[in-house]
Amino acid sequence: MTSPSPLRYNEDMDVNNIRKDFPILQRQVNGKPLIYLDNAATSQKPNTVIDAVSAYYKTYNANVHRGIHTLSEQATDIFETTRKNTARFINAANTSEIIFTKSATEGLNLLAHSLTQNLNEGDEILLTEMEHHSNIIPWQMAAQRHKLKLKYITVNDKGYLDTQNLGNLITERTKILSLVHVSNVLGTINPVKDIIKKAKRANPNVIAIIDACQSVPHIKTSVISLGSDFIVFSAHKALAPTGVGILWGKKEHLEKIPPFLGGGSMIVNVEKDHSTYAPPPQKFEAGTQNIAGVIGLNAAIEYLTNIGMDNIRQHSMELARYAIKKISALDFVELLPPLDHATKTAVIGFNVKDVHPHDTAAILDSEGIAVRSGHHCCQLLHKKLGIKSSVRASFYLYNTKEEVDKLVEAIYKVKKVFKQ
Amino acid sequence: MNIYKDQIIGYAQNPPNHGVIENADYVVEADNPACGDTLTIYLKTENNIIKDAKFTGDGCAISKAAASMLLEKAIGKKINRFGRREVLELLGIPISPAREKCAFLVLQALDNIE
Repeated sequence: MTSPSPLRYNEDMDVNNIRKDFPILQRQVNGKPLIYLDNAATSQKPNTVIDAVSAYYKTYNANVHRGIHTLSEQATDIFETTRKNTARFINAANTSEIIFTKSATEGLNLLAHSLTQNLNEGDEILLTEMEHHSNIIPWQMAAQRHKLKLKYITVNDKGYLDTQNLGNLITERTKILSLVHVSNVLGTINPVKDIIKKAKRANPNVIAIIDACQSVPHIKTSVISLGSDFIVFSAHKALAPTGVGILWGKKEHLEKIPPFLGGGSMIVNVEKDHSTYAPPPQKFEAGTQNIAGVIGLNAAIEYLTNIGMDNIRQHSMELARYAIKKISALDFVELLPPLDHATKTAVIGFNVKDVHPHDTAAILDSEGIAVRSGHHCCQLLHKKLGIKSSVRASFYLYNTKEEVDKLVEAIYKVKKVFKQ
Repeated sequence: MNIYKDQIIGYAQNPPNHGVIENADYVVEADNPACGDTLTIYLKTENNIIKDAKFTGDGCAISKAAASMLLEKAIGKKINRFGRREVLELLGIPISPAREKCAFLVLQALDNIE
């Protein structure tokens, strides 16, 4: 076996070639090559995705499900094929269990609305301290409407959930458990399958929801295996266009729960004072969907499937291992946990000591490096960790070890500028 | 364009007017929970003229430099005479839309004076 060249971390994935598929990676920022490390915020798009959206608008743009004309049939065909391919991508039992929304956030609002309609005062919803605001605020709103109680699985200083307390947190009043698979701040991969199993053993009526925004794009996901009742994820974090979210739900739930948005496409018969609704998925897809975005998602799923999710995971683990090794060696930098690359994705949170994350991010930007600074929509997590905000570098399939080296060089520059 | 000119860093790291004023006539705060910038301003005044101004806070270099420079200039002036133009002139660097909240945090605090 020949030793791998610097950009090939495993024989089946040629990152050099992959980078050529992403036109934006050729550009410069502030006179330096773009080093895009903000993938947890959104991912870049390969030519096939951009071309698929273009092709739709150039050759078969039409509304779906509505027309008998050729353009509409062609658009509908690809739209529904995407639904099927999405189901297959996450190993769902049924194509009609896939619902397209405008975002994962909308999917969570749908669930918070539709799952809580018949709950009683004092019923409980269990979340975690590492949730993104999109998996907290909708539940707070529902809790206010229906006088529900919100509880939280806590996070420890190692960056992991305190799952040993689960038994105490689940009661017979617990109706919903909604938790994140992979943290967008720490990269922690939570043992969601285990947690859900334990929760349902304690209370078989608990509905389990997984926020899979940072997991589906990076880790092979099988909803059947995870054991949850619903998951949400975003297309735009998985190489697809913005404006598309995916909500997967078990058929028996989707058939029972009420719709969230009402309007065209989700009805069967309309009378003046009442109407009947279509079965899922149409029941939950009122109005015109982001057809172009969904078609882009189809191309993105094909791209990811061709690379192989296992290869993507290997690559991510290697980048995480390398980045943790290099950054933890800098005594003027505080690295957020966890530090074990096998238990996280390549999301690296850190702070240059005594330098505000804004300033760190601005200096990195001057070197062409895109990272994010702030609380990353996780104020509760930051409060628990005792920090105001952090810098986050998040990697994906087109990032390289060389980019980690450049990041470290730029972090040294921050030190120099601030004379730390 | 390097916005972290020596002057900005100097003011941010060693602001000459950092600290608390005991028995201040005005104590006003502003914060930006979105990023963790906080600012508390202490003013000593006489007939509405600022005699002394100090600040404490836990913000980014831009927010600290802007506060320090503006409060330095404010001595001997009337309260509430300052706007965005003054801050930008003092900083002397281009402020992108993303950093505006940082630069103008000191104004946000001063706006809280009744």
